Amino acid sequence: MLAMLKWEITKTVRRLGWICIGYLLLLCLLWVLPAGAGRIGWMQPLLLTSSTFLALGAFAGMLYPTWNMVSYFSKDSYFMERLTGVPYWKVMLAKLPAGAGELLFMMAAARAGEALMAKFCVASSHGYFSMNLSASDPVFFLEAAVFVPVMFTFFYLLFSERIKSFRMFAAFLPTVILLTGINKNGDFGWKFYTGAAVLLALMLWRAGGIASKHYE
Amino acid sequence: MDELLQMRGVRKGYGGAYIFQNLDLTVSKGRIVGLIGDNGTGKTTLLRLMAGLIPPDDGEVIRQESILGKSGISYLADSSWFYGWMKVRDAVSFYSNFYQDFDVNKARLLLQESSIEPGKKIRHLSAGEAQRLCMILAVSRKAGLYLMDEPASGMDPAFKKKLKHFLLSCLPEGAAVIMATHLLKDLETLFDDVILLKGGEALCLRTEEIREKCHKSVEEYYLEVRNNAGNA
Repeated sequence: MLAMLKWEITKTVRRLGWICIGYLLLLCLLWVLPAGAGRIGWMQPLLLTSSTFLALGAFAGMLYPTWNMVSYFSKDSYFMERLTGVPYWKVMLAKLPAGAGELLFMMAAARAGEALMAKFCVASSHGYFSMNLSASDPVFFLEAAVFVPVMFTFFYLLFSERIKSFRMFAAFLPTVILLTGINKNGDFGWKFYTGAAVLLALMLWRAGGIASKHYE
Repeated sequence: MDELLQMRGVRKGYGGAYIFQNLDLTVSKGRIVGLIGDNGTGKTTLLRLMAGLIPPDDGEVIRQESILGKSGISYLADSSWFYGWMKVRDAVSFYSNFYQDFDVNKARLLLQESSIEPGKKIRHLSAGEAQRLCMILAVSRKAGLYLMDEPASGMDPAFKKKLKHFLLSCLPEGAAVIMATHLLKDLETLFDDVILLKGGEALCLRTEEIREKCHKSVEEYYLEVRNNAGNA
């Protein structure tokens, strides 16, 4: 389990290391630029490009934990990791902290970018970049780092048995329905989190069972 | 004889067509076994079933953990299985992290002897170098059973000639090996047994028997069996 956790963190760092460094360099650049840069004509493309980069990064960063979970089942690297004999549920469990670490970095970078970009806004111009989430940052983090990856992977594997060609789309729908339900009705108190933990643990364990019997 | 692995009533197919219908097979300790068959007869599928990479549709694959030991099975990976960002040293590190029986020093020495740079990306290696890397990783483990799917694929003729010596010098004493290969001429003297795959069935024979009773080399015997199956 520890070996798999170490490997997942290594993978995430190696995959995204250069992007993270690029982000930090961008944030440094935005930090050193004077507030008046927003009024200089030729700086506009740079600021717009920066805000695009921040927006795309935030979006991709939000999806990475789920993609990291599901991509395990792609044929390219699947066999290399399957040969280790680590049970499916342990692999998926090890992916959660790696995805959470990445999301934490991207959310922090996005919030820092939002604060830095705000200084370039003038009364007559639109905001360059801001991140408005449907829930508070901690709740959003929990949903994107844990809830969605586990739910999506569970449905993905469930539908792999029956409708392999459309499993990505098929997994998307119930995940969105569940998440919408949670956000509309969840009181986010201790009862909610206990129930969610139990449900997610069951989904993770069941997903592992489905994968070990049927997936190849 | 100590049985490392048993396959009982194994059925496996793809897209409605079965490669194996009712396969029964036993792998014993210390035997080097050649797995022979035409393309599409299921050599790769059989090895993957043995390694546990794919589940059988029916039947069971029983691995004797008590005899295989903690190390279990070492499977010769394919270089395409590694991530695009991985360097040679990353693959060594991966094996070192996951396999307790992996000998890092042995792997490094073999890589040095093969002139494979640890800092080079795996996807930038030539086909032969990549295959050699995979073989070095596999043989650097002290496993009870080694499964190799076309180990000489992509290698230059010079190394193919040395392959037998390389395997005998690197594999631990008493290890069992199952090797799918088309290089019968070069490797048949290495094999204690052969498994011939044809028509979804596995014919298991001792190479000694083929030579003494049939007075044929394994390659000649295989070609005869193949031609008879074709004429039937």
